[in-house]
Amino acid sequence: MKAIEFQDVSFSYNSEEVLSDLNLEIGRGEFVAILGPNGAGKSTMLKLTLGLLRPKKGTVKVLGFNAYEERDKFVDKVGYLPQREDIHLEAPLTISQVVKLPMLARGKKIGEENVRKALKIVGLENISDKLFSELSGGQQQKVLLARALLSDPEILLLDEPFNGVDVISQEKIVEVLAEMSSRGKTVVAVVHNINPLLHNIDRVVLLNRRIVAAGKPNEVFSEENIVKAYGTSIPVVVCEEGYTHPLYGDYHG
Amino acid sequence: MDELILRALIASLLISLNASVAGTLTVFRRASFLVAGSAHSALAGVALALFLNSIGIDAHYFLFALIAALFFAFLSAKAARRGDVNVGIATAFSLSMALAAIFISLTRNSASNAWQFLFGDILLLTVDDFAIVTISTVFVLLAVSFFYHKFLFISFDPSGAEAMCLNVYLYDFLLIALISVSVVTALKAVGAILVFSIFIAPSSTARILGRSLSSVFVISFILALSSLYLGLVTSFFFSIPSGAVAAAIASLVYFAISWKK
Repeated sequence: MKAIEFQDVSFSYNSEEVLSDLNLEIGRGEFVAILGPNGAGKSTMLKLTLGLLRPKKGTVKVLGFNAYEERDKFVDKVGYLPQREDIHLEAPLTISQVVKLPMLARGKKIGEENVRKALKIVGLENISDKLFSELSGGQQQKVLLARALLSDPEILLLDEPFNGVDVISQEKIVEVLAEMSSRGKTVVAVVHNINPLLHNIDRVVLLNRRIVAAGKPNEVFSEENIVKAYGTSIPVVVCEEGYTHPLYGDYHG
Repeated sequence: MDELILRALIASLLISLNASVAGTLTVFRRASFLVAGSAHSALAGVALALFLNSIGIDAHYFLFALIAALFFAFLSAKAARRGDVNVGIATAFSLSMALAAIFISLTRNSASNAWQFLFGDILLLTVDDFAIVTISTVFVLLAVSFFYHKFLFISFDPSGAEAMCLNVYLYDFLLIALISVSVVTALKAVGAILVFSIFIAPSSTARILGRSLSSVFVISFILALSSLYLGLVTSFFFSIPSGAVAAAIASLVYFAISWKK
């Protein structure tokens, strides 16, 4: 059974088609990055995976369950890291409270030891009483990652994990995601800038309302595919390890 | 001690609890204007009740205020779903004021009754009013404690809450409805126009000063209660409306603290 399957999926907001004829299978333990310009439908793809949106056509399956109709059957097995811009900082929550909040909101008890373990993975176990609102962007993102890891999920979905994140925190996040993947967990990250992840992912999906290309980064980042996705050419460089890196992409809008 | 004063002192305590809980959750929800919208919607309900009473039909102000405020909560929650909660609140606000003005103008001898609901008077609470304040406060506190983590989660991270299978729309409506009940509870004591100051100013000040969730609730409660008690004392010695003094104190404290910070 695949971790995530898109079977001939189309989706539109009102009359505007955002995603067309998506066919994609993501296997268990795969580490996949979804890349594309602004408005390509990347976040919509994540929302379809989470079962928050109903496809206009086709089916999305997560761990074999229909994502929209049976989301309660897999929700505990999916960790989600939302865009940090969607987080509101009015309530003075400590790091520990932020990590525990989803479980408490669902009426589940959570032990301090589990919270400490999750924070240790991202290297923040010693400041669990600090206010979340006073952390840097990178630290906040690591707390949200720890929160997503708390239930030891089978699948981890991340929406723009590197926005406003310093390089050291980026490296830590990539290290944690690679470790998850090596333990057989499925990791799917929507990104604008693929470079922090590029050496660790199994596949990249290049998206612009439909799948332009999917495969190993070196196969996907051809001149033809980049022009199809972005409408213009983007310079690429091949690093010493032989990976093809696009030099830039759209900024997160 | 005079029964009216004792009643006013206890009612102030209960209203401060309402103001602390509902006001703080409103500030966390980033919808402070909601309190004003809710109070003015309730006023439309009160005005309808006053009009019906004036033509010989028995109608209790609290019930009508509650229905109007809950209807407003429903409209606001629907607007929030589309991401434009302020437009929803503002439109419902002006609609409510328009209806209130129409009903008050149709009501004979309306001025004094309407005045109490506009500016409130905690010293004029009847035994019935006091019972309403007590029962509503217990209800609001129980309901909020039951849904506390859900309300906190949808205020902090609505996307994450939705992803975790929480019905964000339902809990948002419940939160707005409970805030509305709380506001209606304080309506006769504090008044539709001044309730905003008693609910939002102390909570906003507490949000600036507080370093934890519990400290925000506690500071907000102390500020609301101090303002109301100072209002009562001032009213006792100088014959000035207590609600107006309390609202002025709460607002001035907010401006002083936010300016200092």
